[in-house]
Amino acid sequence: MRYPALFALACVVALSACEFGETVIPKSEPMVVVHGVLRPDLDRQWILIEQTLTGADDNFLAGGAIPGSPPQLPVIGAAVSVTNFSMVNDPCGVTYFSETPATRDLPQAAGLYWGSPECPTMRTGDTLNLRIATLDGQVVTGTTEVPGAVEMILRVGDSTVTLPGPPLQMNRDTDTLEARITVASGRALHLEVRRPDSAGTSRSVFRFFVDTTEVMLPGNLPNFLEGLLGEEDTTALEDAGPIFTAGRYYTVTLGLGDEKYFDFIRSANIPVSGRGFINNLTGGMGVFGSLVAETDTLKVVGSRDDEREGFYRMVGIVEGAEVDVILELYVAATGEDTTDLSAFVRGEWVFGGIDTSTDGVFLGDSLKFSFYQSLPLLIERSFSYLVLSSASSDGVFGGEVLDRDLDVVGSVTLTKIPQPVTVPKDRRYVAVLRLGGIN
Amino acid sequence: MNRTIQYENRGNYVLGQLYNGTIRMVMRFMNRQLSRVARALLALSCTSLPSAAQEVRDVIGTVLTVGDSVPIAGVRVLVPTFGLTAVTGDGGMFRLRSVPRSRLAITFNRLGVRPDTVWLPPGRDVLTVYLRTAAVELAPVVTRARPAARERFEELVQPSVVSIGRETITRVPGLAEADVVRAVQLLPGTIATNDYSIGFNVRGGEPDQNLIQLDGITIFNPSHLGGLFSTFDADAVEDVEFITGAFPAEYGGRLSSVMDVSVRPGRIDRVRVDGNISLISSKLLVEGPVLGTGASFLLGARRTYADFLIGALSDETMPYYFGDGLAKLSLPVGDGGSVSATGYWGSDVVEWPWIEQEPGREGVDLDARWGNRLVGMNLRYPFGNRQLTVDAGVSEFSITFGLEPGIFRASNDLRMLSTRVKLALAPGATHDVRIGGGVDDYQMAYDVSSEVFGTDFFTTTYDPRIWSAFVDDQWRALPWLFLRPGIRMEAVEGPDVVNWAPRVGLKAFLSQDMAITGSAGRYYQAIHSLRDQNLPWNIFDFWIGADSVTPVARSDHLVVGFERWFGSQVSLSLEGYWKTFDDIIDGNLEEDPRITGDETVPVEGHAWGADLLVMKHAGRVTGWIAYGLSKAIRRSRDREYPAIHDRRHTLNVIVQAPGPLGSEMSVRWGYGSPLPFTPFVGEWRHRYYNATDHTFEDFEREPIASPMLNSGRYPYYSRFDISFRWEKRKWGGVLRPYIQFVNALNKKNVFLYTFDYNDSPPTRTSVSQLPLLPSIGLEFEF
Repeated sequence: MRYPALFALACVVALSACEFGETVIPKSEPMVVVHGVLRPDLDRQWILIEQTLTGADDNFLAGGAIPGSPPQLPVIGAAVSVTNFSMVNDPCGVTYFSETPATRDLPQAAGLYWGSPECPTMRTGDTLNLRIATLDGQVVTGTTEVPGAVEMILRVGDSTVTLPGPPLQMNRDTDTLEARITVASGRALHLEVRRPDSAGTSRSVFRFFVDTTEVMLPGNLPNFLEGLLGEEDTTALEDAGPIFTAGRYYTVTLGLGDEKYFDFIRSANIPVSGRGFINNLTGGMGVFGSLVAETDTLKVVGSRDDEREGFYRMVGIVEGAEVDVILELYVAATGEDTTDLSAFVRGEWVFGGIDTSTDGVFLGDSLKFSFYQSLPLLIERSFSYLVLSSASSDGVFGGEVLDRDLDVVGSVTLTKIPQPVTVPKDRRYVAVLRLGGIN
Repeated sequence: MNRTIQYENRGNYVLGQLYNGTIRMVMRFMNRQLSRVARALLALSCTSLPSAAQEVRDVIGTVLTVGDSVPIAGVRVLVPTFGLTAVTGDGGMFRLRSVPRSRLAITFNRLGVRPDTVWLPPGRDVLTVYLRTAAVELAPVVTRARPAARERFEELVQPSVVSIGRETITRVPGLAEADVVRAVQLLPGTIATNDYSIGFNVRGGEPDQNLIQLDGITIFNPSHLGGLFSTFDADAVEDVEFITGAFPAEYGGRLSSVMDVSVRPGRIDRVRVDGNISLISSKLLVEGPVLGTGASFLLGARRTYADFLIGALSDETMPYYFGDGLAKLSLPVGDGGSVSATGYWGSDVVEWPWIEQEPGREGVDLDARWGNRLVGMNLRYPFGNRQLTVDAGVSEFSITFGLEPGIFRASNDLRMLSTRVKLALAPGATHDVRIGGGVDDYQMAYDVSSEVFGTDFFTTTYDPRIWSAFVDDQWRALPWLFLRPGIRMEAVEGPDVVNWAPRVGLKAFLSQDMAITGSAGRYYQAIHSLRDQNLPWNIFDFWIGADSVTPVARSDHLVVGFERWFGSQVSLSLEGYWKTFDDIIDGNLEEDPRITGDETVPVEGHAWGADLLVMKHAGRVTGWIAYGLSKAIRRSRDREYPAIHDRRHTLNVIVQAPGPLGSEMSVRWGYGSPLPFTPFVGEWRHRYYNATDHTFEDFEREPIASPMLNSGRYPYYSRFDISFRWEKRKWGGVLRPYIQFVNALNKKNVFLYTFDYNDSPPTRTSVSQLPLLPSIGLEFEF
């Protein structure tokens, strides 16, 4: 052999080589996880108590907001109390939280603990103490200092609203939303933009926190956090849109959190080290914090640069009712074959007055959009409508209205108008039999 | 600060300071030879003597190696007829003053080169001499060219020091191209925690405790591509001196090691172009003389081109590239002195369209840039048996990371202005003293803000200034005993402390080939990096300085060793060490952005171990075997735990030898016993709070680390690399195609684990370090 040393060395190192991949490891011991954010501005408080993932069970990636959707790994039967030591003698100085509140109006689920109405008492600057004792003897404690804002202000251009206040209007192409809090006690400003999709539901568009008292949000800012928030949100950045779209209503919530809440939202255990989360609880992990917040409605308009933008009047018969609404339409994005649009829909629709937003698309000569209408007094129920129309030679769109099941429930015409007209308020309600029942 | 740890008045050694038996032997040889040559020359040139006294001139010359024309420093230049002498400086330059204008014989001598004699005509005042470095055989004493390590063994009281030259570095198998830091990571006492990081740990220390210098100027984050490549162009490097502990008083500012990278001066005889084309990057190096002034230049540049290639060959984009450039200008001054200027620029760039601009949607770009810039000047001015060395420089490191336009921008700018002066002198036959001082002025600024949101998230600065002074004396107390006492003072503005750092070393020769060494000292460090020690990989360090809150770190070293030479080619060193660490820091994950000074938590610790190095310095087969035994402990927040780099056994075998098909083969095999990590003990759902509806919606699944830091161990590490290089002369130059196999056996070394507690049973998945990576490339030289 010409190179015996090399051959010998290669043999030695070959013996040291091996491979390994996925390995089953022992289950871990569960720990108590607490998610509790007290809201002095709300009359009912609740605290979610669950366990860490230990590998004991298969856990699907549960969706849905809590409360409303039950947690997967609840800690049941715990003794939960919140004490305001500066008001121990107050009837709400000590509040015991229960999984079974004495009302059926609240969502009930294992691991979801509700306080008594209007309890605990929370004054700005008060320190509240949490104590959780689980059935297996674990004790979790934490504290929070109640925040308070002297004033919460939203401003767009020259329009300023002290919250709670009337809706604001913002031109997304030229305006900036400014938020300011005059702090009495608190640590972090929380700004949240949500987009109502239908009655009672909304989608988080943008969430932001900072430990200053003022923040600005330009109307044309792309949503650079799209797809980065949440386990289930798989939206790719390629699909990321702007935060604000002209022709849509948004809710803007301005909050002020305490130190514990700030630590909860600003820190996280990073994947490679499993460290980083600032845990202020003893005996468990999670958050016991507090936050005050106010919400306002923001009507977002834009500059009209596309000839298709503007006002349309839509009239016709839908489910037996005469409908007459004004669409304030804006082009959102132009693709190769389609043009996305958003529009305000105001006027009279099937169940009465409507003032909502719609999303749709121009596709060649056709126009398609959908929106919801809530059944009066039953805000949890809404009905969706899809309008399919195509333009005639004179520019008037005519088409059908479909319901959620894609059954045709009416027909309408849309005519572009130079300026909005006032829709008569003495609309006539016509009861109809809806095929397929009330959806 | 001096850029090498070699004793600089080596010429004085040769001329008059007979320090040990080996030197005496060499001197005997030189005296005999010189006297023989002198007598012969005297006889031959006697006819020219009458005119010699009539007119004098200065003779300027350069001494280069035969073959590759590398300047040779330390060559004694002698005009025997008149007893005129000079010694070549770094650039191989010398100047003989007041030389009679006659035909003269000039002799050239230095350890490790073949002595030579040239004739200088009366009308010529400039000459270039080429000397061979091959073995020299002279009766009655037989000696061979000796490596610098052997000279250091004989002359220097400094344990824990290893020098590796360019030739060795460029032949160590690497990822696409030779890498200086990767080669250093293979030396004993050094632990590289993974394949991806240039950062390395020396004898229980942290990566930020290594003083890394380029021609005497500190460089802060010497890596590209998140640590896969170092900033140093191996072809531009003269050599690397690496001291793993107990370094002498002239070095300060770091606790654990000194890695001193010397850029070689450019050639002075002709313009030469070197280059390297690899799969990842290409580089070009140009060097040559500057218009007959005796000065030389060296210019190098390198850039990756994956961004170009991917863009040209596919619809995909590669949003990353790095590039760097290096320049050195060297000029001889005085008798063997030199002045040089070194510049370096490097930049890593990420330009990623985070959200592409479309009709109706603004675009957002992720723009990240980081890199080093430095400019340094070095003056060496020998006079008599003294030498003055002045270093001055500016070193910068900056990082900007932003979502543009103006959404988010984070920046860290670090600038260090340094000036150091050192005087080396020999007040007596048994003393070599160095006295020096300097000032390092740091400016570190952090700024995190958003123009869009109108918010400053975080802004802070650190401005420590460190004044230093030192005295270092190498004293031959007895014929067989060297002592090296020294002391260093560092006054740190900011925390306003004055620290005294005594150092002492000894070397006791048991024979001319065998010595016992020992050193002890105290070390201080006034700047720290804010890396999370539990992260296996970091792209760069964030540096902060000592102030009224952040302490100056301290470490005590004790090193005891044994050195043995087997002939002039093979050496063995065995050293044991004990180190303490006080007031070192770890990043505080719970720091409050409102508070300046809570960014760190104090950490202390200790380390002990032993390092063995067997090195074959010359011959047909060269290389080394490095073994390190180490234990590193940390204490913080009332907990004691193994350091993240607490690897008990490290073994590296490097063999460079002739290979098949006429190639030069280089083999590296490395073994590392298991490294610690912190296991996960579960996961939790970190939910998002919806303040509008007072609900929790969505969540991130986050792992939970065990409170027992570093209580787990990864499997052992091993890697086998091999490379082959061929050399062909073509087109008037030299071509060196090469092929390399990194991790040739495709060993799945664990980089980190990921855990899944969401399903039953829970599982752990390993993420591998570098897989088998073959690469080819071509070096060329014209």
